[in-house]
Amino acid sequence: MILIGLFFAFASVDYFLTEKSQFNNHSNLISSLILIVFIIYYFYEKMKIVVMYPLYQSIIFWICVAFFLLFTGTFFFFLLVSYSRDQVFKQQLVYIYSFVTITKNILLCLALFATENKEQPSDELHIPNHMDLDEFSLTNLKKT
Amino acid sequence: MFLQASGSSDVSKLMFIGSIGMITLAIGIIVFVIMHQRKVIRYHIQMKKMEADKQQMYLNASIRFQEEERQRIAADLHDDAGPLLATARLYLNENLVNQEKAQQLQSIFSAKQIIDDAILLIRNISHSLMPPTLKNFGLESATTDLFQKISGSGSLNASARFHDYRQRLKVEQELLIFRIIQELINNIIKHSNAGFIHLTQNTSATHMYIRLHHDGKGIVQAEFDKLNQMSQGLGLKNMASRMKVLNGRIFFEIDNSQTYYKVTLEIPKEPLL
Repeated sequence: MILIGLFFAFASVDYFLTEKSQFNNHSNLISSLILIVFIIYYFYEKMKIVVMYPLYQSIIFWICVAFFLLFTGTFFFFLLVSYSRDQVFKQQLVYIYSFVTITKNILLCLALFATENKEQPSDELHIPNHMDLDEFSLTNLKKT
Repeated sequence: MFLQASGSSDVSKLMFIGSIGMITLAIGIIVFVIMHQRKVIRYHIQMKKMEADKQQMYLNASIRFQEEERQRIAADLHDDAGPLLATARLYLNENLVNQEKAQQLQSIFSAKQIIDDAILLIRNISHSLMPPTLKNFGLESATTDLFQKISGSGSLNASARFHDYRQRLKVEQELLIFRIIQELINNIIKHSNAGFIHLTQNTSATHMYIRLHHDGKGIVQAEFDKLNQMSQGLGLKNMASRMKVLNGRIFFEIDNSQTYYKVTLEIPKEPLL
């Protein structure tokens, strides 16, 4: 929450300080950096915790991977955008941006199909449906 | 400053190389995380399996030892203590020859009665340690016999019904199941203040099911798990260990009508581990 507040304050200040005609890359750069750090932290936490199902069965993991690739792939663009705007730069930007965006979208689609593995409770019984173990009742008992 | 000073193509090159480098690094991190996690999972599964095998082995050994010991005590009591006491009774008769006749008769009568009681007691102990009905006639007969004895006492209405027990389980399995039923009944009698106990047995292609109903104060699965983790409740722990050896499950629940409690045993037909 503190970080969100700080980032919002920075972005607001940056918005007013930067010339309106220029592409404002500072906020994008900072947000990319923050998200990259958070995603790496998420991976680190996942590596620490022992779960008995693979990480790639988790929806959140694929979402993180998608955005991790997007932000790492566009990080240098945000870093250098204010220094060059020639044709070669634009061409390369199109290649890189298209690649990471398509990859991100594919990964987000994969996330939709990820089946989260919930471990079955071990004490569950597998009594067949046709088997009646409750045929007994108080009236039955009185008869016997 | 450096970037501003260098040419535009250098910036483009830097962006391209930088982006490719970042993407490669990101993919590397992701692959490392996945591989590491898979390795950890594999290691834990292996450890878990080893731990379970070890535990199973210890449990098997301890329960087998306990049962063997019981059988030995049962055999000793039945074959040695019984005949010895009977012989003592005969000696007692011979030593009393020189005494007064009335006194002789009184002593003989008292001694005989005591020794008869002792023989009966030893026989009872022997039977409780290793029920001969279970060994000779199987679980169904032993359980029915047990329930008849309980019912015969008059304090509790007990009945057992075996639907399908044409194919007997192994003697060791039957013994373990019988001990669990005994423990459950003991607990019901001791703690639940029940008016009736009813046992139902049935079999599927792979498992045998035994369900006990009673109208006393029972427990549900959560309470069983909790009691099982506490230091007391040895009986429950023994039940859980026996179920583990049988590779089966035990489940405690209350009926939907909230009038009686149910305990269900699920025992696989496959051989003991």
